[in-house]
Amino acid sequence: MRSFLLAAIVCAVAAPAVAIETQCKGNEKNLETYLKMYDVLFMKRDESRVLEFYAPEFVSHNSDAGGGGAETRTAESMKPMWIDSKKNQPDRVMINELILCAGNLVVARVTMKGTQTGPLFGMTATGKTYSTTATDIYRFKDGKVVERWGNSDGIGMLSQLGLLLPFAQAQAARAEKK
Amino acid sequence: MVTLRLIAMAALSFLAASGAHATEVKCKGNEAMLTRYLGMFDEVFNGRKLDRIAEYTSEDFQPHDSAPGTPKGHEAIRLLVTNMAKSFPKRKLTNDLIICGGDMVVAYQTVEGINDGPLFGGIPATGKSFNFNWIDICRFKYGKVVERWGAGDALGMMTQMGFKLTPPSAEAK
Repeated sequence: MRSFLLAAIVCAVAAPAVAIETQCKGNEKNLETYLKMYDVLFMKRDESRVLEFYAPEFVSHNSDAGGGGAETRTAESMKPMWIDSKKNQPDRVMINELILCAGNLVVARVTMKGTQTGPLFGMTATGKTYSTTATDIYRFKDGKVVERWGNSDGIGMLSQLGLLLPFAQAQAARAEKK
Repeated sequence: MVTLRLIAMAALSFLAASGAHATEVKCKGNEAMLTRYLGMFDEVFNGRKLDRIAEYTSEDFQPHDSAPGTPKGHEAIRLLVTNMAKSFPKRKLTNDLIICGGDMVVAYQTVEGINDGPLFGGIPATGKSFNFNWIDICRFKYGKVVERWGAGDALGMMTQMGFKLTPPSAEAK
């Protein structure tokens, strides 16, 4: 019964996109929670449901807008990230590629695709498209995230958008100092 | 503000260097794979022993997240290790969290150090310190890594080293 349910979930998610590799045998409950969070928060970006998936207080090690440095965050403080994402990049999709579970942890490697039709990192819209990867790790307790880690390929994304780090400027500044 | 951040960074580096670091490991039932990963971590990634690459990676090793045109096999790891040694001769890697599942090991790591070697693309060393996170995903087969996905907060690192974003128009000026 359990494996049938799992197969149904995996099949439903995998159907429209590329195949997801899932290594979550024995951890079906956390997988199910992750997939629901993925659908509601990451894809639909329905910030009104943030308390369903995040504990009122949790630890964030992530370097994204959700905060980092092993600091305590509140579920409420995560809302702006999804509000901004929905507003600035309405067509952004996230595709699960690999989901791995162990104990109370779930690791997800995803690809994010979208068009930069609004501000990003303080830069104005370029109208260009991007496809970048991210890896996230979540610790669940009683069906909610109590800790998160992660990173994304920000440099790859900026390169695709033409918003490069000014290497030439750095070199020039250094030459001036000499 | 900048001073504060530097003090915080120095404190973090000290904590990590003092050896008081605890790694959380979730690998019950996967101890053999964990041992192999830790062996590669110590000898190849931290120890930079090029002659130990073949011990831990398969001949048809497939890297992901690499620059286009990166070779496969042992050569891929050899290039990665030698390039990192050039740009960051003293960088330190610490495992914060290791997770095993199926045929994979996931390691969340802290990378810290000083950029005292030239960066990719011939950018001169900035001399600045950095501290950022890295996630390594390795697939094992017969005790060797056959596939690896490695991704770090490189943008965070570049920002710590003083690089700023510029829109294309400003760069052309």
